[in-house]
Amino acid sequence: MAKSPSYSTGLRNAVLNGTDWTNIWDGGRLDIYDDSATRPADADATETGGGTILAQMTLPTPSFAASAVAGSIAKSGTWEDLSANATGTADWFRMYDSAVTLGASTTAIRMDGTVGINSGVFDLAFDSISFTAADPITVDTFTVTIPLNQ
Amino acid sequence: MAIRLSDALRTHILETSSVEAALALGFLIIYSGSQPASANDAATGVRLATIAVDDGAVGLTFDGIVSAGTLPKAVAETWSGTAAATGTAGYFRWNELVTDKAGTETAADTGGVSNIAMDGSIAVTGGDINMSNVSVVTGALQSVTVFNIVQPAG
Repeated sequence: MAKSPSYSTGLRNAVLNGTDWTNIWDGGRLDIYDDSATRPADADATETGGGTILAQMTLPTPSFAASAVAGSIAKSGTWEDLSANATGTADWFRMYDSAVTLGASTTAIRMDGTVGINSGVFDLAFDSISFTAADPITVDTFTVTIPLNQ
Repeated sequence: MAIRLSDALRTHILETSSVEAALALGFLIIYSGSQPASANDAATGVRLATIAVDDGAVGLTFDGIVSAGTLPKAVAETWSGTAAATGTAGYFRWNELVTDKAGTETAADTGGVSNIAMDGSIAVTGGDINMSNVSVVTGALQSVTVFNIVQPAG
């Protein structure tokens, strides 16, 4: 699977007339799911049935850098789950704002994406996607890019 | 058909404020010819018309109400501009920095990654902006009655 970000309607609305990207995710949460089920069709859809949560981490404040470069912005601070929830192969993620609204929603601020080993190919990359329960899981790099062509 | 954003606009959305705030009080300029490969590039073609509020000197704004990832033009505003040249409309550039409606090229029209700009195609059908007639004639008033910015879902 290649890069395939999905932005919820709530997030799209917020970006259009609410706020900038950097502040949206402060104090939010990142859930990383395994490959035992199919990723939801979009970030408005419920996460229920999307597999097992392998790792879950609260995002720091600030969660993204203060400055963007050429349409891209990188994570800031430590994104870490000190003890993975379960063992499995990471496949996709859902990122929430601090409200952490679960279930189907057209107002929740959320972003989904692919998980893999190569950061040039996947939205979120790790050195290994074989997660083991109780192991620490750390996101070293994560960059969001607004495309030049929409 | 492709909406293209300059680096400055992309960066603004990421680190400064919303799309609405970034584009507020900008002008929509209609050019002849093909859309540049990037909104960072200098504008090409002939500037046919500059769309402002009531064909005046005030820039355009959006309504603060978004729905389903769509930001509409301010309903209360009439977006119009008298054509300064004759030609076939090919694309538009939303530009925050145009100050001379008479047609003098400004710094923003020369492109560059530090200018907030957004480009899109113009056609009768299937363009980012559809015009009932893309043949623009000097002195004719051009109006934009519907303009929505849609934030992609992915």
